[in-house]
Order: sequence, then structure tokens, then C-alpha cells
Amino acid sequence: MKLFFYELRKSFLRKYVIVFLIVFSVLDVTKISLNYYQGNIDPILQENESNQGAAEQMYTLTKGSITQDKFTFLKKEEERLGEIYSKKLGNKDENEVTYSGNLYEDYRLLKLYIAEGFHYAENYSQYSKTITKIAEDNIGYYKKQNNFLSAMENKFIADTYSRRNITSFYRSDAVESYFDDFFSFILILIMCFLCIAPVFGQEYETNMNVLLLSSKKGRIKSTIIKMMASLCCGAFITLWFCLVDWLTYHLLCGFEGLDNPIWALPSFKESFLNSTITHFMLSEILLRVLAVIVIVLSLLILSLLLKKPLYVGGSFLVLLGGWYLLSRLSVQSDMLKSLVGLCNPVCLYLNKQLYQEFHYLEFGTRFYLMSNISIAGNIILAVVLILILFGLKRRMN
Amino acid sequence: MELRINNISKRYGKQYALKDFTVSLNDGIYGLLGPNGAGKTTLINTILGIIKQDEGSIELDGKDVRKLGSHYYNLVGYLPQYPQFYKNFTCREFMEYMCTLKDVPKSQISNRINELLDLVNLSDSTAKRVGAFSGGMRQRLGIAQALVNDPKILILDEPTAGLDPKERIRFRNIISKLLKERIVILSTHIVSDVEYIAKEVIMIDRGSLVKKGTLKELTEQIADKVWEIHTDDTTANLLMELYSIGNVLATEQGYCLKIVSEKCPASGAVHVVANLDDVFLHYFGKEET
Repeated sequence: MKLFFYELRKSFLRKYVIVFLIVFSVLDVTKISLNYYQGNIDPILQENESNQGAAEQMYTLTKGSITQDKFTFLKKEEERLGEIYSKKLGNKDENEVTYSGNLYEDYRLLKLYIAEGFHYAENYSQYSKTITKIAEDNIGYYKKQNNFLSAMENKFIADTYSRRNITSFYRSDAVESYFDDFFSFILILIMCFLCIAPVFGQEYETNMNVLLLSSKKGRIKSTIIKMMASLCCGAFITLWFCLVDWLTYHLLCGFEGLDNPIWALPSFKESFLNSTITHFMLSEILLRVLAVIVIVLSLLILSLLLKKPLYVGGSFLVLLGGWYLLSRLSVQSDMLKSLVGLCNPVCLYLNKQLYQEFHYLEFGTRFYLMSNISIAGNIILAVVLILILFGLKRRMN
Repeated sequence: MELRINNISKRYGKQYALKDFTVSLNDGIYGLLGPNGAGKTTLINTILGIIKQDEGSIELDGKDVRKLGSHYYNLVGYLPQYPQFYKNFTCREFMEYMCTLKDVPKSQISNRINELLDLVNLSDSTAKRVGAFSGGMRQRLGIAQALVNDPKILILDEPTAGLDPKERIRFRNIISKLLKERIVILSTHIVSDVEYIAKEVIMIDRGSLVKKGTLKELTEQIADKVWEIHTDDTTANLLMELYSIGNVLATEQGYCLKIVSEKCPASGAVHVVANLDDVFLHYFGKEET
């Protein structure tokens, strides 16, 4: 445990690392705040003050559990304002209900910020039934054709998408933006580089490598502890920025409807995941940690091989670039390209498509979800990198 | 305690870094002398177990050190060449780290560190960052860390390189205190360091043992090979080209040269008392023409 602390102290608990962590956290919060106030997260903020108030008022009346009253209210308002809008009845009669002071604006705000989301939630169960029905029909068809793999795929669809519904309506812009925000990934990568790049290099720079090799715990045990400390550091950095992201979004936008199923978010309409938004948020953090673990292990190998942080940085950039390009091959019909694309940490971290839609790869008589392949591929990659790290260390000793 | 190095050889490609090297060491300080590239560091790394010899064996009290396994590392202390250590660690943190690495029992760590920092005169700097240490302080910290496990074999690689005379004297005095029941190997090419404190000198060149003996034995062996001559400018230049020159002193008449040579270098040359510098020159100096 003491050695672990000292390894942390050597590379991570350093003034410049803490300063960078604080500066990057401020940068992250600033970036999200700017996005928010420019209306890039919640487009309502692009409206003028009275429109914002109107949209908020309409939303307060419709959000939460979808009840008959809310349904009727929305329908009536849509009809009333729709009629005024289509017949150009102008503005406004005495005692007419208006939210923004302008009936045309009311109609636009209602359609844009409320009705669309509300109807999506309300109609989702019908969508689920349609998908399930098509899949069930397909099962029978493919069985007759002796195409058991396609029958299995359709059975999976039927099982996964059946009996789905959305029972409450909440605006999803904030949560969607949270899932799409990858700025902190860049900060995590820079932080990882700052912490991990010198791990092995500094032992050579300070002539401590020979001293370590001449001590009982300085050989394999110290390498294991270095690796563990680096992984903990990578995991901490990831969790820290996830927390900063989550808190900033939550404080600025106020996440709502986190107990809703993930398909309540329109971008996850076709998702095969059967979990709540909260569960997906937590699982996504774990996936990010796994991706960063693979990145940290790669950095450790580069640090061991190249020693000088400048060389480590250069190769790290090339590696990340390669991974990014490969990750774009992930959702492909070509199995080999897909596999290569899926088994890298950048894909695991950035490719939401794998969870938003039903993507799979066929191996023989079975099919596997691409998201699972990506997770398994990255775990295997992590194990291989650990073996390479220890193999290299042993050789270099 | 006896450390026996039996016919060890180490090759890098076709080049021998150590060739059939045999030596036996007992408690006391041994100076390891040799020119650059002689094989000193390879020998040290082999004794430390950092690199494995291709042939031969190293035995401690008759037991092959390879068979001692990790226990052997607890018997060894090492100060590497030009140590920098971790600049962001305080002196005490660094010592604690080394104690942990070398498996010093927890209950003994604090006392051991106090004792050693006291020995190397760093008691007042325990909270100071290693990055703020002078070269001399860093070397002293290096000795302290090498002693945390109370090693039976202490190896110091170029410990006085880059130190000013005052620090070198202080360093030598500390080393002299460490003699008790311990083999100390002091690798250097600064001859005077060895001359003052070493029990015996091991001379190595091109990976092979050239000579081993006490200062007295070594100087006696070349007693008739060290000459002094007073000469003029022209002859002095000629002699400097032909012989290994131990010293050149400008005098009113010209120069006073100390020459190491098998035969009398010139008429008027007289025998003088040899020192370790002369021994070094004799074995590693210019080939006579």
C-alpha cells in the first residue's frame, strides 16, 4: 500500500498535475456554460425572454406522467393555436389565452418544444408494437426459409422491443447534449498524457531504474504497482471529469426524467438497451473508464519504450489518430473492418451509435451485438497490453 | 563474509564487456579502478544481479547468489552513478520509499532513517525537497539510501564525480565509517578517492582483471618504474610524447617531469616513490614506443 502511495506521489500527486486538473475542470465547466448560455444545449435559451417564459409555462403544464388531462390539454391547445395559425386569425381577442403575448409564437413554441417530445413519448408504445409485429412476422418467414440466424435476430428484436412504452414526458435536450459532449475526453487524454508519460521515463532520467532493479520490490512488484497506480489515476481522471460534466449539466439544465427508459430519448429510439437513463449514464461512465484504462496501458508501453515525454507524446497522438480513424470503420457491413474498428478505446468512448441502434455482427450461426464486441475487444486489448508491458519490462530488466 | 566472482564473462554481441573475471572479496573497502569502458559498470551490474553473466558464477559465502533469489537483494546496497532521485520527494519521503522497496520492517523504518540521515549529515534537511539538494547533498542521500537495508555488500559507482574537494573529503570520511562487517566496492576513476580509503585496489581493463592488491603491494611492484627528471622545454615535449607522464611541474630551469616507464627515460632521471596515480598510469597509460 505504501509503495502504491509513493507511485502516486511520484507521477500523479504533483503540483503541475493538480494545477492542470483544476485549470481543465474550469475549462470544462466554462465550455459547458458557454454552450448552455448560447442556447446550444437547450434551444429555448435562444428565444427572447417572454418566449422563454411561455415555453416554460407550457412545459410545466405538460411535463411528468402522461395523463389523459395533459393529453387533452395539449390536443386542445394544438387545435386552438393551429387554427389561429392556419387561418391567420391574427392577434388577439379579448380574454384569449396566450403564453407569450403572441398567438403565432405560442403555436411555434408549443410545436417545437412541447408537442414534438410529448407525441414521441405518447406514440412510442405504438412504434414498439409495430417493430415487434414485423419482427414476429419475420421469425416465421425466416424459419420457413431455414434461415435460422435471421430468425434468431428477429426473435431478439421481438423480445427486446416488445411491450415498450414511455409513461412520462420530459424534455430531453440536456440529457442528449450530456451524452454527446466529448470535450472532456480531450481533457482526459491530455491529463492522462501528463500523468502517465513520465512514469517509466523518469526512472531512467533520474538513474533510479538501476536502483529499482537492485532492490527486492523494485522489479516486477514495482512495475505492477506502477501499472495499478497509473490505472487508478486514469480511472480517477475519467470519473472526475464525468462528475464535473454531470454536475455542471445538472446544475445548469436540471436533468429531468432520469428514471425514464433510455428510449425516451429520441436519439435512443431504436436502442436495444432495456435500462433507465440513470443506468445508462452509470454504465457509460464504466465504459469510459474501461476505454481510458486501455489508453493508459498504451501510454505506459510508450513510456517504457520511448522514455522521453516528447517522443511518447508524438507517438500517442499518432496512436489516437489511428484509433479515431479505425473507430469510424466500426459500423460496417465488412466484418473484418468492423472488428478492427470496434476493438479500440476511442470507439468504445465515442461511438454512441453502438447503443443507439441495433448493430450486430454474425459469426457462424450466432450474432453478437457490436457494443458487446467492442467491450470484449477492449478487455482483450487491455489484457494483451498488460502482457506486452510485462514482457517488455522483463526483457529490459 | 566472502564474495567470490568466478570466471564471469559477459558479451554484448561479439564484444566482451567482461572476460573470465575472477576475484575474491572480504570485508573492507575495495577500490575498483579502470579507464572508461573498462567494464566497471558491467561488473557492478552483474554483482547487483541487474544483468546476468553469460558464464561463471558469483558466490556469497560459498552459495551461488542466483540460488539466494530475492533474499540476495536484501544483502546489497547500491549508489548509482549521477543519481538524481525524485525531485518532488522530500528527503524523508525518499528514504521511506527506499525502505519500503528494500523491505525494511515498518517498526524499524523511522529509527533507521534518523540514524542514517544523521550519519550523512542530512538530519536538518529531512523536509527539504530532493530537487533543492546540492550535488554533494544528493550524493550523501545516495549513501544513506544504499544503507537502509544494512547491506553486507555496498557498491558505490563513481560516488565523488562532480563533487567539490570539501564534499569529496566529507564523502570519504563517511565511507570510512562503513567498514564494519561489510564489503564496500568503490568504483571510480578518481584515483585519490581510492588511495585514501581502500583496503585493496582492483584494476580492470577491457573486461579483465589487470591487478589486485593493497596500495603498498601495487606501488612496490612499480617502485623501479617511476622516474623524475628536470629538463628543458624541448626535451620535456619529446618525453611527454613518448612516455606516460604522472606530473609536469614548471620550474625556473624548464620542467620537472614524473614519468612512469619500464626503463630509464633519459639521462639524469632518478627513481622516486610511486603512488596510485603512477600505478594507474603504468597499467592504463600510454603504450611505450
